[in-house]
Amino acid sequence: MSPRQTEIIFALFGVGVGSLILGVWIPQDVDTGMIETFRRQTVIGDAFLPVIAGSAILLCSVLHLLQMLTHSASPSDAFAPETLTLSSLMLQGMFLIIITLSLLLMFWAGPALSILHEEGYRTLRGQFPFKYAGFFLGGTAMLTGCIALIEGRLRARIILIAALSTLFLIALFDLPFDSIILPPNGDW
Amino acid sequence: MSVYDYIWAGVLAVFQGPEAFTFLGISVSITLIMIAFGFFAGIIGGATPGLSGPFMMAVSLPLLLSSFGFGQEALLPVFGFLVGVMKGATVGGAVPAILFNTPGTPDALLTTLDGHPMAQKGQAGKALKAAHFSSVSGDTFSDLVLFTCAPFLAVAVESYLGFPEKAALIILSLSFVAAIVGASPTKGIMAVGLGLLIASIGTGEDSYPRLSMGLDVLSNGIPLITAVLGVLILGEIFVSFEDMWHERQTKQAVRIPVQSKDNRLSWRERRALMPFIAVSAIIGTVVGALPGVGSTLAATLGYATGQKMHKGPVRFGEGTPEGIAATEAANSSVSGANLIPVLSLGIPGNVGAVFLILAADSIGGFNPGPSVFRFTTHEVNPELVIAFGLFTCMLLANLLNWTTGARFMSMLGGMVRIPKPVLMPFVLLLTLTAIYVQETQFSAILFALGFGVLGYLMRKLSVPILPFVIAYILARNLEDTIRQAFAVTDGDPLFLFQSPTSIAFIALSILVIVFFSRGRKKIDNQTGV
Repeated sequence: MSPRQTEIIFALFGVGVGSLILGVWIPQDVDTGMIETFRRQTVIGDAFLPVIAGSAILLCSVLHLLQMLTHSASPSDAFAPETLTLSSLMLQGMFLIIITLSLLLMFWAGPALSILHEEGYRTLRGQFPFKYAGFFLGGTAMLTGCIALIEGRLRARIILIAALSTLFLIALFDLPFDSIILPPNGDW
Repeated sequence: MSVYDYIWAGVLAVFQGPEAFTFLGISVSITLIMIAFGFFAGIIGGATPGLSGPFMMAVSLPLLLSSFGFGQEALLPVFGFLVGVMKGATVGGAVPAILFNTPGTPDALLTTLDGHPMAQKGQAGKALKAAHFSSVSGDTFSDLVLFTCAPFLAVAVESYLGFPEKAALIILSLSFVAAIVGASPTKGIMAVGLGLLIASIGTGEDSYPRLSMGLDVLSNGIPLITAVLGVLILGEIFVSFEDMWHERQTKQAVRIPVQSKDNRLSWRERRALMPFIAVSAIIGTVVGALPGVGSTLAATLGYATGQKMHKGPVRFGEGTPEGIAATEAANSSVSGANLIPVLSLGIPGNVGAVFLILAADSIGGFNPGPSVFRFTTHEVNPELVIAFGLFTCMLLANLLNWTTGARFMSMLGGMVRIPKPVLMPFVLLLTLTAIYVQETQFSAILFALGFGVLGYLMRKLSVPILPFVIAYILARNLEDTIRQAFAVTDGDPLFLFQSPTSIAFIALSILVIVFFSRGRKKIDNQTGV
């Protein structure tokens, strides 16, 4: 896809988003108008700022589309998208999958470990090893996955570095501060 | 209280703040310790390719808030650390630029042009000293301009501008940032619109939280720190992941050439650098005082001007200390001047200033803007004491920089060896942890990742990030000012066009957009595309 095509798709997307904001989201989800009269007093309503914001998006998207279609401005180096290609989106998708799976592990590892205990995770979350289990496993998985994907290979050394880095973060956040709660313990 | 009493109270607030420890019976304030920690952490961050001042400020802010809490006594230690990081990162960025031809921070890119050739000639030590001397000179000059200009500007704004004029001034600032940052003013305005829209979610004066789609998670709005860290830091991390993935085949061994034994920078050589430092410091200060214009532009202008002034035997680009001086003085003098719009108008001009505003917003008790500089005589204005405390922190960080910066810089050549494929995922986990520590809800991590994806897409589509962040921060202030302006003009729909000042601000807003749009078209035509 050429830079100009990408810019045109981006502008069309902006026109669509701007229209949805102004035509659907604001009318459906804001209770007062742009200007309201209440007990003979005229005031600015809650819709004022979102309408200005949505109009800016819509108007500039239309202008950008016209610029691209009429060739009055070309997608030069300054204008053009860096390199938003399908392969870069797929790569980011892989990173996001790794991060999401690691966060799921972080969230559920502690409760899973506590299944064998009667008290439940909410009671155990302040005690070792439950306190650190989710963060350690999830953090190590996140670092290992991201480093391995960047380097294109998985080595035992990467897992060791990831585990040590996560332990360092536990030491940094948890040891000096009593009031700090590591993820995900605040949610339980 | 007189002006001098306020200045003295600010100095005392730094030196007599909460005690860290006693040394030989003398109490040492925690603020002094935090300035030093911040400064050295900033140099390390600046000297590490991939990290930068804003990165360090972003990940340290939640830790600082957890350590010092949310009382007013937390303001100066937190500001001291952030100011230290800001100044340290500015000088630290020159280390890998000179030694390894890799700028530690984007604004040190031009330092590589003369710094690295000097290192290859065995003059790395001299180049580092020239960079440090120029950087700290420019920074000190810029701070002095800040200390003298910001209070006068703030007093003028508070005395002469009413609500309609203030609303018009915020619109002018947003237009300026939208027009000047990035490649296209239309994309800049889109970014401003998006920032204002997202800031509108879950806020407003009606009992129903607007644009919340009936969801509890949106009904209190999106936390400022989560959104800003997501779009600024996580977005940058995602882009760096992709860059590293593409670059993994082109790894190069890091090597420092053999160095000459005499690497001193004599007083005569320092004197020869002074004209370049002076001109670049003025350029950097003027550029830095404009919201949204970054240190990279200042460095470029400083280098280009220095190149025209230079008549020495070694030309710019071939390894001359004057080239380093012209760049480093310009990019360093941006940091102090960037705080002029923050402290006098409440408008953040760059990413570093954004984090100072975030700190002030999170802790409370200090609202950067013209109201800070109310020199009340009958009662103490605590915000003014904090402002002079902040100035004292900046002076102390400069003093530390003058005395220890050069020595510490020369010890950090090894930072470039930290592998980026390990460093950036670590920073990702550190940022997510810092966000969770602040919000203690997993949903905050998910929001931050969502904003990270937004930041990634904006970077890839050349939609500037800074207008989005500044609009997000200023949205509440803008809406409140517009509501008040509308009320004081008895509901006049033309409230922005009632005084010559507000008409001038609005006209300037339109002119800025038109000027930069036309300028862009001209550049396109010149490049033949």
